[in-house]
Amino acid sequence: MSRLRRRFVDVSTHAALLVVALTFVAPLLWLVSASLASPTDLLTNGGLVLTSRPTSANFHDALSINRFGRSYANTIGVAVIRVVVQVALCSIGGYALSRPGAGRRTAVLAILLSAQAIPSFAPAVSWMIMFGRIGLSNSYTALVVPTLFSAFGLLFFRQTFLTLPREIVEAAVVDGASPTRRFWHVALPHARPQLAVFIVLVVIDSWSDYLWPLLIANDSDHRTLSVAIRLLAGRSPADQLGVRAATTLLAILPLLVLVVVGLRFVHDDNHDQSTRVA
Amino acid sequence: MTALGTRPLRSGTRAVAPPMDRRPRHPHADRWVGDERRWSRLVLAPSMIGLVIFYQIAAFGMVLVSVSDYRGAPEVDLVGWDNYAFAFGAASSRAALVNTLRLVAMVVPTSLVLGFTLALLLRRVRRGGWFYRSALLFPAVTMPTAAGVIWQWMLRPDDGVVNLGLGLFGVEPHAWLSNPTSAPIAVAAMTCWQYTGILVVIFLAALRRIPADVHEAAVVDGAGIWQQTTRITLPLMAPTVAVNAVIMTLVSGLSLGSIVALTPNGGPRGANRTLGFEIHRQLFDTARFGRAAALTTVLLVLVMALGGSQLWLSRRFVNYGDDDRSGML
Repeated sequence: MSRLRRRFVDVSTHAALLVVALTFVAPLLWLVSASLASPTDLLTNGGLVLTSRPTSANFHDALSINRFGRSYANTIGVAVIRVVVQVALCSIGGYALSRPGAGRRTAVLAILLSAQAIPSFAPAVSWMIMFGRIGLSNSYTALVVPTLFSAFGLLFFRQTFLTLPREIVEAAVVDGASPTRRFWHVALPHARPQLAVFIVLVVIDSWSDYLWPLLIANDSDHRTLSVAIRLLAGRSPADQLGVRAATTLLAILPLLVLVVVGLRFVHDDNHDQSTRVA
Repeated sequence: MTALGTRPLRSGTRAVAPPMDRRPRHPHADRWVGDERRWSRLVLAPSMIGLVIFYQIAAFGMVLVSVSDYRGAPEVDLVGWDNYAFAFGAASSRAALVNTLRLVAMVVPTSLVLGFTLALLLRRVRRGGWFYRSALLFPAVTMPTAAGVIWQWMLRPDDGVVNLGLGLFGVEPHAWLSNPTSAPIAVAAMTCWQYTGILVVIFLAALRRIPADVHEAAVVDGAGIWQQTTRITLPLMAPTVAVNAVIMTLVSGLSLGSIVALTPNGGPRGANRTLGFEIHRQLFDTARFGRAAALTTVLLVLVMALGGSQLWLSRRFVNYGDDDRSGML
């Protein structure tokens, strides 16, 4: 291809991508705009154009909503507990499953594969009845406990540790390291990138979870953001959209930041992938 | 890292080794050795107990509830197939099934074509790929209920930005969410908006796994961009696309939070009531756990059948690299 033609293709590729990318972020850009808009702007132009100075009043109002901070704290708390416990259980369990011999544990694999095949909406009604029976509806325990176990996580880490050269762990066996030390000092340090990916996936999953928090923690003390934001739907007067937009923006902001940071990190990590085989 | 180039494609032949252990045989391949035996059982026990209680037993319990008239009170009677008669017979459940299928039929082809095209474009990009991928992934990490409320606000009939924007071009305002035709289209558009970015990233990772020499050989043979795409890229990507079509079917068919936030009452004449929405309604509006459980069981069977076909597709055709998930971000 001639140089000129290649340049033309490059420029038009970027142009097309830019248009699509802007379309994709447009609803979020509008959200930012509406959250900064004054009531007049919301009434006259839907908050899209800011004729008056951007105002932070909406954010002040959003933060002063009584239960918003509580929901925020609940969401963060649930995410942190889920990350810590799932990482602990799944990484060490996945390592055990990656060791020679685990492939023949058919009972274990049957449990894992069938649990993975059951989507989380299915047992939620049972969970609700279970926790209701032992008097734990609307409790943090019920909100968190059923989400701590992940067949996907175990299989994910099993796959990760299977790619470790066997000699690394065998050498530690010869050196007389205990299984825990072999896991912690030998295997786990090799799995840092996958660990980061897993944490991101768990955070996204936890943050967005809707059905279970709705079923078990519907009161204002235990509500998570996902459930609280849903209550903003419904017919609201236009001049109140600003506060609601600000609330929504604050609720989704952490994950947006997570994506930007995560992509930056991973991108730098495997720059120019196309030349590598994998 | 397994890749297309390093492992022969198995088409038609059955694997000899058990699928979970593809490694060469090890002297102690049949058992955890020595000190690892007790240790492995110890570290796996919490997960196994938790999974059995919260997945297997809970799923079984749900099936039990589906043949009872449980409504929260301690006295429960078994009612046999009544709830299933409702799940298959009632007009609302049938409508929910139709609505779900319609949503899937709109979302899956659109998002796959859009995602694939964008991935092809993004592959050509040398700089700034990070920016585009972030932009495309933002909707995916916007929690579903937030996505729903944002779209609802934008589609407001009188002062929503969509109608105001169209008004600049002289288009009459349209009540998007109270028209039985446009409301499901709005849901489909929102769902595509949410998930296309993930497809782009998955497809991009798969495209990069196609060895460069295949394309180089084609260029030597005089193939242009169009021929390379249709004769090489598409056939090699077909399995990945097929697997993701199944995944998108599941994801779009099961989306709940976004629909509930977009149209809290299920849209005009219940046009947006999908199966998930109907389960949600039976639980909250009428507290009929039995009916909800019967509907859930039906949905679960559908999902597991689809999941099984996905497993079959991926086992048969697709060779996931070990770093597949890391390619997602």
